[in-house]
Order: sequence, then structure tokens, then C-alpha cells
Amino acid sequence: MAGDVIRAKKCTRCETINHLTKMRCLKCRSTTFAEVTHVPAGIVFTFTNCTALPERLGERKSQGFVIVQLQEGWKILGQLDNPAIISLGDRVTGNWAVVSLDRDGKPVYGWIFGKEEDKT
Amino acid sequence: MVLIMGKSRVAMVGAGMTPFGRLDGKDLLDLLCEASMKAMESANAFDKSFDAIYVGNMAGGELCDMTGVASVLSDRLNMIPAGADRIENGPASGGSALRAGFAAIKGGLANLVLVVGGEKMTHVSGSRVTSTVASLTHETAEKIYGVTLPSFAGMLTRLYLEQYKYKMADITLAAVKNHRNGVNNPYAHFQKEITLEKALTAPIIADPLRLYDCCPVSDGAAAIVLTAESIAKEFSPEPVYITGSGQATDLQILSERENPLFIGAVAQSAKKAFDMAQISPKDINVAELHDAFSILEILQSESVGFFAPGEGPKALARGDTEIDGICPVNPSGGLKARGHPWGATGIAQAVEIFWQLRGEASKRQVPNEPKYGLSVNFGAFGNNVLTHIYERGG
Repeated sequence: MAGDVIRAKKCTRCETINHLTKMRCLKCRSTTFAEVTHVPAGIVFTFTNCTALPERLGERKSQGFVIVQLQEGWKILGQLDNPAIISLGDRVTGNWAVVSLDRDGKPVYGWIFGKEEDKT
Repeated sequence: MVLIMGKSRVAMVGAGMTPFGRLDGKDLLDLLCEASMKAMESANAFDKSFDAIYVGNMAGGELCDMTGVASVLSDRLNMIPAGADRIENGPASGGSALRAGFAAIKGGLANLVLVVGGEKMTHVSGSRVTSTVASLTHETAEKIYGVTLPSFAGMLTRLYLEQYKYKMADITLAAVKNHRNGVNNPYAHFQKEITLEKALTAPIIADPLRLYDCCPVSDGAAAIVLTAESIAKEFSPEPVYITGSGQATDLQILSERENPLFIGAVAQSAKKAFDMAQISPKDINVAELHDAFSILEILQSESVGFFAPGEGPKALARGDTEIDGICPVNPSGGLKARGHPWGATGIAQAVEIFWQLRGEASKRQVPNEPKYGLSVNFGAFGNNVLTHIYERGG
């Protein structure tokens, strides 16, 4: 999922969007896919701000998490920047950035979503 | 011994458990042995030869540096030459071990089985426990972000409140009820009531969930002795039968589930169990649901078929799920008050139903001689679920 777009697999038989790790379509069990990309932007499906965090988040006291419904309909999880100003249905955009550290202390990249700035 | 194959029902003839809580000075094997000895004593089975041992345990390797626990247990309890396996299915390891024992008896591979589940958790840091349970999440779609099971529960709670127009108090009532039930369970981690006001002002864990909406980290173990119906009364005049066993999986990535508020694996596993037992949700007199978070008791009570989607909080507020209600849920105190040592939970649920159906639950006894019980053990975050149905014998 690196870069400026979110990558996924689209089933060539039923057109369901699948995560890249899927070997068979989650809906029709087909094994043929085409890679598709999504713009990292959508609306907040649900979110939380959590204080029970694993070791990979180091000394952080809390962390926001969000499930975003992307413009094309597929939903993904990411970290959420500033959950205090977020409501369900808000428009958010994602940035590819360091989200945690692995067991060896190396940075791991993923999507961090934040409220889309008002462009009016 | 000649093995009994065929249509014989599977009988629970003995049960035992340790107290749940912070049990300093006892390691995982101590806990497994203590629960096993109590169950064997309860079944009058000390002088019997067991065919198999199934041990439900999620994280003995990760948290206790201990693998092969089933083999070691066979040695410590001198159950040699019984077959012995550790069964791991995350927080539903106990339920899976119970199902393995059920299948062994039902399939004629064994006549006498010990099923035991346990976990030792309180000796490590909270972040270590959180990291271990977070390892259940999807490696690249979830785990890299540091998301945890409380985070998932918080997100589902927010979605539920929005979709069905409830307030958090309507959900937290489940925790208040379960703490009230835990007062009368001498094995419970928490044996004190909480007020709704206190619960609604406690520290945030994963908003809108607060401290009392979440189960504790606990040590503990629970055990059951299973045998075939045809020889059950050699062990106990009042066996309890497992008449339905269902298991189902669902998509691992929470965001891929079409409607995350309807727990498909709960519904599917329950349907399989009800079909096997040839009864329906309205027949159940007592249930133990996997309330690791208060929202999960609500969602499971709907997905299993007790209440329609969105109706769980209304049933809770009416008192339907109280011990003297029409559908008692978690008379033990549930995971919320009894505690949640991962590998033990599925077995502890069966132990509670065993006691309830035999009328041995003391002050928390469900009235009117309950005949049918049900347990739901929720693996990972609802993507591998066990439902069992029980029937009073005699």
C-alpha cells in the first residue's frame, strides 16, 4: 500500500474489492484479480480514540483509529489524527507516514487520516 | 476399553475451576492442575483412565515461556498414556478445546476426556498483554497501526449508538448487571457492584468505551470431564448433556465485513448448534455470552437470535437478561466481572452452565429449574466463534 494511492485487488468475476493478501475472492471465491488503486480520501465510517495500546506504539498515551469508507466504496482502517474534532460522516484524507515501529524498532508506514480542510 | 461409537450423547459429568483474578505464586500449570483436579473430583474420576486431554490455551508460549502444556499436564496429573493436545483459537481456545473433546466422544475416539483451559496473564505488563492480543489482528491491514481489540469494540460501539440512536448508558447497563451478578460468584475476579454513574465517568479506554465496559486481565483455569451418555451415570447421577456444538469463521479484517454490527460467525455458529440440538433461541433458559466489552454482550444477544438487531439494549433495560428475567445472560458475571483468562473462558462458561442446569449456582442460581443453556466463546474479534448448547439430564 506504499505511495500516494491505496492498492487493492478487484475480482475479475464479481468485481468485489479484496485486500491484497486474499488468495480467493471474499465473495465468489474466484482466484483471478486485477490490481486497482484508490485515492486515500473518503468519509468516516466509525472511529475511536484508544488508550490501551500495544508496545509497537511506544510511549504514546492515546491513538485515534478510523475506518474510512473510500470514495469508491471500499473501507479501510488507518490511524486518525486529532479524533477530538471528528464526527461520523466527516470527510477525511490520508497521508502515508510512519505509524508504528516493528519489533526491531524499524519504522512501519501506513495511512494516517485527518479531517479534510474546508475548501469553501 | 472398548470405544463407544454412534449416536450416544456427550455428557458433562464433572466440573471445576480456580478463582479468577490476580493469582500470584501460581504458574500456568499450577492453575491447569488445580482446575483439573477439581473437575476429576467432581466426576468421581480419580481412579479412571482418561483417553484424552484437550487444553485450551492462547498464549502460554508468549506470556509464560511455556509450550507443550498438554503433555506436561498429562505427566503432572499422571494421566499417561492419554492423548494430549493444546488447542489454540485466541480468546476462544477454551471453546475450541471443548468442541475437540465433544468431537472425540461423539466420534468414538474416546470414552473419557478431560477438557481444561487456562491462562496466566497478570505477571506481565499491560502493554505486553495488549500486544499479544493485538497479534490476532490482520498483519498489514490492522496490526501495523497499533489497533487493538478495545479499539475495535470502541468503533463498533460508536457505530451502534449512531445507527440505533442509543446513549452509552444503554450499553453500559450490561456491565452494571454483570458486576451485580459477579457479587454472588465466589470465583469471580470482581465481586462488587458498580453504579451506572461510576461506570459512565470512569477513564476512557477506547471511546466511547470506558474502564468498566472492558473485561479485566485475569489469571485462572477451568475444567470439565466429558464422557459418553451410555456410561455417564457411572460418574454422576445428574449429567448435563452437550446437545449442540457449532463453530464458524468470518472475515478477519473488520472493515471488510459488510455489516460489522451483525456478528456473522456468532449467527452461523449458533445456527449450527441450534440445528444440532433441535431447539431454538427461545428455548434457552440461561446463557453465557462473551462480553469482553459491554457492546459485545448486546451484539451477541442479537446475533445469536435472542433479540432482533437493535433491540438488545431495550431487552437489557427491561430486565430480560437479569438472573430472574426471561433470558438470563451471564449469571456468572461474564467476562466483565468473572474475568477473562483467555484460554479458560470458554470452559468457564461451560462450567457455569453445568452448575446452573444442576441447580448448584447458589445465590446466582437462575430460577425455575433451567433445562437448556447456551454459551458463546468469541475468538479473535468475532472471526472464529464457538456456540455450545447444553441440556439438563436426569
